[in-house]
Amino acid sequence: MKRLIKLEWKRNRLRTYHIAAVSIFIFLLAMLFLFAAIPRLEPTDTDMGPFLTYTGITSLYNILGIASFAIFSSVLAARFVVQDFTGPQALLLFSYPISRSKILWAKLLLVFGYSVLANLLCGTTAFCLFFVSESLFPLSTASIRIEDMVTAFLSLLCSSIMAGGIGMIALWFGFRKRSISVTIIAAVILAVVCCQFLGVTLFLPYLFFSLLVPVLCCAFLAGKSLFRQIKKMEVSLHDRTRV
Amino acid sequence: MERELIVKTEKLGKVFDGKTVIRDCTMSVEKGTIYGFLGRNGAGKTTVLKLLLGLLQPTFGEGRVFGMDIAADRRKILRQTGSLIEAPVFYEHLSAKENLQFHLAYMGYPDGDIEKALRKVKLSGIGMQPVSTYSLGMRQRLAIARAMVHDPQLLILDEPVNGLDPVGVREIRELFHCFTKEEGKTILLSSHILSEVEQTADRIGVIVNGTVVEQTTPEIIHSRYPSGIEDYFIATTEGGANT
Repeated sequence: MKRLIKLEWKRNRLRTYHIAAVSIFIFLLAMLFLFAAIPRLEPTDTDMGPFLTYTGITSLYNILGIASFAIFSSVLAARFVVQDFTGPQALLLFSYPISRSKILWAKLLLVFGYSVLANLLCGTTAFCLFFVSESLFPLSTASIRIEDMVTAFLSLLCSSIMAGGIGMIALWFGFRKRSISVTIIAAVILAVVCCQFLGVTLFLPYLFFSLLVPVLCCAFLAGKSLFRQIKKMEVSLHDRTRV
Repeated sequence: MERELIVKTEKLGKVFDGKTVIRDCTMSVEKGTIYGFLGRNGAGKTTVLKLLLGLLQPTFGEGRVFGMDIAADRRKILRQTGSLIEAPVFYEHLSAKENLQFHLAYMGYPDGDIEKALRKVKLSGIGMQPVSTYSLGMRQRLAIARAMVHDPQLLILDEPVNGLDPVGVREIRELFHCFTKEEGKTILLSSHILSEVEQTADRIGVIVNGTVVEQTTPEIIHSRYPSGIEDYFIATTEGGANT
């Protein structure tokens, strides 16, 4: 399995995805500082609840992170799984004496792992920069508490896994339709629904975790269905695969 | 003395969406020979080759390669087989050498002699330019090198001389003869180019509307049709089509 993941990693050009992850990081970092500065920019506005505490600010960051990295994950999944298994590459892929399930496992682990790690890395760096900056030159009027930081990092962990899970569910839709765009659109819709729910739970960070379970259950079922489809897939006429 | 059979099919068939594409494919390929598979467009040549490679599952009948069942022992068969089906697919951003390196890694055969394979198809010294810049003929040569680089016992090639100039066709023909006569390996190839099959193959099979209607040798064809293989082909395919 390790060998297959390494091969997938090496044979695909990942530079574009590294650049995309860095771009998302810059955008999210800017938003994090903006969230902290909003109460200063609009001092007369009374509806500033989420921007007045560090838990609120970091939760908003995590919601944006879920949306961004869910789409990022779906793009990766579309490229690594949908394109490879349903395009002309399928002919090559299925000509190797390797179990189809193993190939799919390697791809899913790479997509999920890359997306979760990129999200975690971006979030951790952003939070470290943010909290260090806030302790030196505070933008927010709130005071930094250890529990705010712990909650931020725990939420980041959950949101990273959730974004990866959304990518997997989106992949299921895209794979059924043999379409890269369907994969990405499904991720956008799912991310919007999840973020809408999470927006309601801004002041109850532990509710944040409660969405993770159904998302992961759906991702697991989506994965199981993908394995079933791959197993009985045929490389049909003119390189089009069929189930 | 009777030769060992490398490929043997018995009433092999394939149905797509209720339409019978392969009705009765009964053929046998002896070890150390070149078997030319002839048929009109849409007769089912590529489908039969895909069935033998496990890219499609047979609906009925039996197929054996190296004495192993094509449906049950797909991976064992693929380990000993080199193939080229339809237009060759590559990792376009990689060089010829890198493509072959990845192929060997996926085949689980890291000791393959890449330089030798490239030399055989007259692509040595091609450098590190990406495959996306190759001409049709170069791609075809590289596909043949890839099919051979892991030292397979059987080559299954769909239109292997497509896109090659007359010199290239001749070189590849010599390569195939060397592969079978000197190395004792086996080739099953399909082609539209009748003269090429006539000059290359030791045995010829003709498929008409999904049925292998005749298996013969170029010598017998010559004795029956002194005017050439074209008359034989037309008579057989039109006769077969009417049956």
